[in-house]
Amino acid sequence: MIVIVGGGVTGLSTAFWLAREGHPVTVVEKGIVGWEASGRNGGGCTHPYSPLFREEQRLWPMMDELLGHPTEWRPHRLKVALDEGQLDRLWKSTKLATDQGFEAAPLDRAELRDLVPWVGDNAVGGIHWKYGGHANPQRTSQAYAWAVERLGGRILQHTAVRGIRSQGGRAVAVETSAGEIGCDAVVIAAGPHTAALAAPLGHRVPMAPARVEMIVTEPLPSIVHGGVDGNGLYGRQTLRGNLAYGGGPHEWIDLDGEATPRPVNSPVVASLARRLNELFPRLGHVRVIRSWGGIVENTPDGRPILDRLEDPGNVVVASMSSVGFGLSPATGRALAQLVLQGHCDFADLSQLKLSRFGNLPLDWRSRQGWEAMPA
Amino acid sequence: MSQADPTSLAGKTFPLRDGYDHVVIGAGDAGIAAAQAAAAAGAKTLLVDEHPLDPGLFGLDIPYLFGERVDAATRNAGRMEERIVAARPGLIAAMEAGVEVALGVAAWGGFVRGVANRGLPRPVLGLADREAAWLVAVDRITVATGARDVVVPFAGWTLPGVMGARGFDAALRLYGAFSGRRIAVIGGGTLADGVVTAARTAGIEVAAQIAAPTALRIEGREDVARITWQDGDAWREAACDTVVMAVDTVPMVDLAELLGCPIAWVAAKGGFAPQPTPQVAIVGDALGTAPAARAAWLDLALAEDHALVCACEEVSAGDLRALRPPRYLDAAGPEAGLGALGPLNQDQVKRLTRAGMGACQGRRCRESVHALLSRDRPAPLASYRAPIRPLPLSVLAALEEDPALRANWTGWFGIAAQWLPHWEPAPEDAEYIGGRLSGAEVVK
Repeated sequence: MIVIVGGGVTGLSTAFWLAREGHPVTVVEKGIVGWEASGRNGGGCTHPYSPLFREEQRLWPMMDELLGHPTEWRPHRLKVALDEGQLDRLWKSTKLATDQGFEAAPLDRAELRDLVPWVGDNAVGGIHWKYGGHANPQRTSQAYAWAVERLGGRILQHTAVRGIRSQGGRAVAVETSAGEIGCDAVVIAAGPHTAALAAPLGHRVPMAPARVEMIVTEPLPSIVHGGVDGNGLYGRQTLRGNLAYGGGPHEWIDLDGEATPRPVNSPVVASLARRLNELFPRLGHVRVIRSWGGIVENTPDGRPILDRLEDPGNVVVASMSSVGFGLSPATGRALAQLVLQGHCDFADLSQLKLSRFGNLPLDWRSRQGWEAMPA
Repeated sequence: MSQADPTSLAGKTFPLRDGYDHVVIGAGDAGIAAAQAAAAAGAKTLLVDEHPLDPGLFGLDIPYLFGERVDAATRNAGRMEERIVAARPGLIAAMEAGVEVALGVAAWGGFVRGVANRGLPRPVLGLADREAAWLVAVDRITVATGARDVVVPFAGWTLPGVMGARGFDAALRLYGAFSGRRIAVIGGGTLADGVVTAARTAGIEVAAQIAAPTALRIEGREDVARITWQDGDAWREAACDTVVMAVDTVPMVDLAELLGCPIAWVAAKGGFAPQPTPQVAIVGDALGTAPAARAAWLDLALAEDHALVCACEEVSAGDLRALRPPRYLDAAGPEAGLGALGPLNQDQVKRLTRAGMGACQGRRCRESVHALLSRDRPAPLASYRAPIRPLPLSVLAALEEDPALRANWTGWFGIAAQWLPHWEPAPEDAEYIGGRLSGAEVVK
C-alpha cells in the first residue's frame, strides 16, 4: 500500500499514476479533495522554467481522456504589455520556452486587439505563446480523485494524518484520525503542512506559508484564447466566460496545528480590479462578483522539493513551492517514479532535492523578510 | 527581522476615507434605532443603506427578487432618495440626532484581523456608491441588513414578473415604483398575508393567493400571463401580470460572515442564523426570522428534475442530483451523482455544477441547492466572499491605494529564482522576470 498524504493536485496526480500502473494507493486528505489552493488558482499550465515543462506540455492535451472527465484545458497563452519594461520581462520569460523549441510570436496592438477585443490604447504590444494553456483547477482536482477511485485507489476525505511510524529506516504505517494504515511507501504532499509532517521523521523541510487572493467577474462572451494576462496579473477567461485574475501582495502567515487557516480576502481585491481595468480598459463596466483566497507555501528559493528521503528510504517529500496546479500531470508522474524506482527518467530533478537546504540558517524566514506580521 | 519582503503586505496600509466609532449597515427600523442609540451615547456614527440601488442591480435581482417589476423612475437616484427618506421618516430623526446617513451606499466588504490577515489594526468596511469604492475603519459594527427573498423554483419562475415578497415591498413602499397591476401571491403564512394586505391597500388587484398547492406553474410567453396550480384534485388558474413568491425569507448573513460572525443552522429559525461577536452586533431580521414551511415548498418544486434551480448558470434540480458538469462541457456527471462526493458541501457542488456561481451571487438558488444537499443533515453554509454586491471594475478600481503597494506589485511573490530554470542551481543574484507593473528591480 502506498499512502499519499494530501488530496491536492500533486498528491492526487501521484495517486493517479500509481493506480494506473496497478499499485494499491490510499490518499488521506484532512478535508475535501482539491479544497485548498489546488482547487482555487489561476489555472495556468505554462511553466517553462521547470524541468517538468515538456512533460506538462505533452500531457495536458491527453488529460481529459486519461482522467475520464473534462479538465477544461485549452492551449495557448496571450501576454499583454502596458509598457516596454513589461514587454522586456515577457520576452525574457518567453525565451525560456523558445530555447526549448516552443514557438512564440510578437503581437502589435492591432493584432492583439484582434485576439483580445478588451485591450486598449495603453497596450504597447504582446506575445502569443503557442504553447502552454490553462484549465479549471477545481474540476481537474476532482477529476484526478474520481479517476483514482475508478482505478481502484482509495480516497479518505475528512481524515487527518497524525504521524508516520517508521521502523528500521522505513515508514511502516501512517497514523490517521481514522486509525492506522500500514504502508510500503509514503508520499507527503500536504502543501504548507508538509514541513510539520516531515519533522518527526528527522527532516527539516523549509517552507513558509502565505495567503494570496484572486477576483472573478461576471461572464463575458468568450474570446479565442482565454489564457490572456499581463500587467502584473495572472489569470484567464474561464470557459464559461468569467475573468479570474490574481497577483499583487501576499501575506506571509503562520500555521497553527493541522487545520489550514481560512484564506480570507483583503482590500487587495480592489487593487486587483484596478490592475485588471488597466489591462482591459474597455471593461470598466464589468462587475466583480466574487473573490477567492488560498494558502500556499514557498520554499526558500521558491522552487519545488521533489525528493525521496534516504531515511526513511520509502518516503517521498513533495512541495511545489506555490506553483503546483499546471505542472501536476507531470509532477505526479515524476513522483510515482520516485516512489517506484527512486529516480525520474524523463526530467532532471537533481536541483530539487531537499539537501540543497542543508546549510540553511534556522532563522531563514526572518532573514528573507518572510515572517508573519506580529499577532 | 531584516527588511520585510517588499512584495508582501507587511508594511503596506489600506488608505481610509474616514473612521467611525460605530457603523450601522441597513437603514430599516432596526438599523435606524441602533444608529440613533449609538449617536445618543456619543459615538461618531455612520448609517449606510444600499438603497437607492445602482439601477443595474434591479435586473440582477440584488438584493431582492425584483422580477423586472420596477418602473423607470428607479433610474433617477435623486428622486429615489427623496422617496426613501419619505418612506422612512426615522432617517430625518437619526440625522438630527447626529448620525451621518449615507444612502445609495453598499457595504461590499468586511475585513477583520485574523490568523491569516494580520495587517488590519481595526475592522475595516468596504463601501461603494455608483462611482467609487472606499474603506472606513470602525470600532463597532451593527449589521441591520434585513432579510432577502427565497425563490421556490416552480416552473416559470424566471419569467419577468415573478418577484419576491421583499422585492415587492421595496418596489411598492420604498421606491413607489411597482409596475404590476394584478398579482398572484404564493404562500400561506404571515409573509404572504402581508403582501396581500399591502397590495390591496395600494389598490393593486390580487388575483389569487395560493397557500397549499400540490403542483404549481407560472405561465406566459415572454412575461407572466397566468398562474396555474393544483388544489386537491382540481387544477385552477388565475390571470395575472405579477407573481409574488411569499413563502419565506432568509436573513442576509453575507456581511456578518465576512465580519467573522459564527453562522449556524438553527432549526427554530428555519435556517442559517448569525451570532454577534464583541465587535459586531446584529439586529432586526438579519438575526433570523420565524420559521416558515419552506422545506415542504422546496421539496414540492425540486421534485421535478427539470426545475431550474440556478437561473444564472442554467442548472436544474436534475443536473444537481446527477452532479452534471455545466452544459457547455456536454459531459456526464459521475455514475453515482451526488453520491460520488461523500459528505455534501455546497461550495464543492457549486464549483462542479456552477449552481450559485452566477451574477446574482447565488441569491436566487442558495436555499434550493442547500435543500437538495441536506437530505440527511443540513449541509454547511456556502461561503460568502467580497464583494458581496457585484461591483463594476471601475468602481472597485477607484479605491485609493497605498503607493508602496503599487511600487512593489508583482504577479506572484517576488522570488527571482522561482522564474529561472530549475534544472540549474538557483543563482545568487537573479534578475526578477516574473510579472511586474513596471519600474526598477526591487526584489531579490
